[in-house]
Amino acid sequence: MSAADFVDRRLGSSARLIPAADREWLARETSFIAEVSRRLAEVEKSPLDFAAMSPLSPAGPSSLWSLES
Amino acid sequence: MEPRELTIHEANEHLAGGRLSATELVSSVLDQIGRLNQHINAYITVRPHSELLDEARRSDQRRRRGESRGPMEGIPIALKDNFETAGLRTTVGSKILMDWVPNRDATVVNKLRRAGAIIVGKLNMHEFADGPTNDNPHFGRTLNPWAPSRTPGGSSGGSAAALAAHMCLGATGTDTGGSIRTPAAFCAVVGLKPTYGLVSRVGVFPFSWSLDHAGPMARTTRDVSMLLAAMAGYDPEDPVSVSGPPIAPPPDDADIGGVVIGIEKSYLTALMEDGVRRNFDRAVSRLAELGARIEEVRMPRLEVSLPAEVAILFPEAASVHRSFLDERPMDYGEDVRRSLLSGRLYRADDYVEAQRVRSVLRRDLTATFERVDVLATPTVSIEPPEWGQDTFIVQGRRLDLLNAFIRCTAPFNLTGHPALSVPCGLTGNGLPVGIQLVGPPFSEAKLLRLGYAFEVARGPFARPPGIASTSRADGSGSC
Repeated sequence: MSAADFVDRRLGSSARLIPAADREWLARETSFIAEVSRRLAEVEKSPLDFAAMSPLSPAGPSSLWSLES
Repeated sequence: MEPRELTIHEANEHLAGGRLSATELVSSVLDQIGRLNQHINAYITVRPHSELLDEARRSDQRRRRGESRGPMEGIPIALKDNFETAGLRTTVGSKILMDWVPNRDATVVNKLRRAGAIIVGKLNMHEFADGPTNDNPHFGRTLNPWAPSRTPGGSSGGSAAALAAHMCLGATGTDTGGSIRTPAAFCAVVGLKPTYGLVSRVGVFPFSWSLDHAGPMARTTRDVSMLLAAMAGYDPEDPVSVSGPPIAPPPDDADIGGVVIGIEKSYLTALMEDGVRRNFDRAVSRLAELGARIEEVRMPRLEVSLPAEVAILFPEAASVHRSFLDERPMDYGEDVRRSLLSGRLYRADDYVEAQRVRSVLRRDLTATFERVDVLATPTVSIEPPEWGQDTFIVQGRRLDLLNAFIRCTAPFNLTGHPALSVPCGLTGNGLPVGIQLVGPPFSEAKLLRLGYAFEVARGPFARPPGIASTSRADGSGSC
C-alpha cells in the first residue's frame, strides 16, 4: 500500500474534508513515524508495566516512588 | 517604580503594610495592558475594568478588616486560556472553542480565587497547546517582549510575555513537552513544571492526558513558590492527583552548600548554541561557587525520549480531538490540523513501545537521583528564533523545530519529574537563556531553594528593552 493510501485509510472521514496538500504532508510524515518506530524498537525494554502507564500510578504514588522534599 | 513592577512577594508586603492598595495595583496592571497588549498580544480576553476594580476594592476591604485570604490576596494573576473560567470565555487559542463560556472554574482557578488572587484575564497560547511558537492564526502571534521579530516560545507564550512586560504579576501555564519552561526561558521569567499530579488538571483543556502538567509562572522563584502553594493540592476529580509535601517560600538565607548537581553529558548538555552554552556554563560555575558539588552523569538512552514523546503525545492528542477532527478539520490552523491528524498514523504498537521506553527512562532517572540531588541542563538549546525559522544547525547537527525547542524539557514530561527554568543570562544578541533544574518527585522546594540562591547570586536581571528599569530577585524592592 502506498503512503498516500495508508494516510487516506487512517484519516477516516477527515480525509475528504482536508486539502490535498495536507494529505501529501501526512504521506511524507509517515517516513518520520517509521523512524520513530525504528528508534523505539532499538531500546531494550521490559514488559509493559500498566501501573506505570502514567508517571504516577492512580493506585497510589507510594507504589512507584516515595515522598521526599 | 510602578506597582505592576513589584514581585508578588513584594506586592504582598506592601499590601499587608498598607503602603499599597489592590486597587492601585490592579489599575497599574490595567494601564500597562492598555499600553502594550495591542503590540505584544499576550491577552486574548481582559475582564471588564469595572469588575476588576470592584474586586480589588473588596480585597482592600478584606485587608482592612483583617480578613485577608493569605499572601495572594489582591494579587493580579492571568490564566493561560486553556483553564476553564466560569462565565468567562475559554478559547484554548482556537476557532473551534472561540465562543465557549464554561460553567465552572478549573480547580486551579478556584484555588487561586479562594486564595484572594484577582484574575485579570485569559492569555494567548499556541492553538490547543499544540506547538511551541505561539504563532496563533486565530488570535495573532504573541510577540516576545525582548525582540518582537522572535517567538516568545509556547505554548504558554502569552503567560511568559505578559509577565516579562509587567501585564500581570503571576500566571498559569501548562506543559506537555516544555510549554511552561520554553517560553519562560525565551522571555526571561521563571516557570515550574511540577511533579506529575501535584497540580490538578481538572478544568484544563487536555492535550495529552499522560503528559499534561499545569504549573505556575512568575518573575522570580519566590513568586513561583507562592503561586505553587496556592495551586497545588489533592483533587479527587483528577485521577492522577497526589498530595505532595507543603510548599514554603525559599528562606532568605537559602544555603545550597553540599547539594550535588549532575550535568548529563551524553544528551542533555551535548548540543547547545554557543551563546546558550556560555551562559549555562557560567550559571553552573556560579552554583559551584555557592557550594554545590558538580558531578558528570550519563544517560545515553535519553536520546530516545523525543521519539517516545511524540509516539505518546500525538495519538493521545488525536484521541482528545477525535470528533472535531472528523467533523470540522478545516477550523484548525494548518500546523495544528496536520499535527493532530498525524496522531492517526502511529501504530498501536508504537504507542505501547513508547510507554515501555518511558518506564526505562524513569528507571534511568531514578538511578541517577541516587547519585545526585538535582540535574542542571539548559532549558532550551537555542536562543529564541526569528518567526518562521524551523530548522537549526547546532554544533554542526541539523535539528528540526521540535528537537531544538523541547529536547531538554520533554524527557521530564515522560517521567513526571519536577523541572524549574530560571533566567541565567543573555546571548550576544541580547536574548534570554534559561537554566533548567530537575529533581526527584516532590522535590519542588529543593529546586526552588536552589533557584532562589542562584537568583540572589546572579543579581537583578535585565528587563526587556523599553519595559522598565531593573528587577529584584531578592525581594528587597520598594514602591
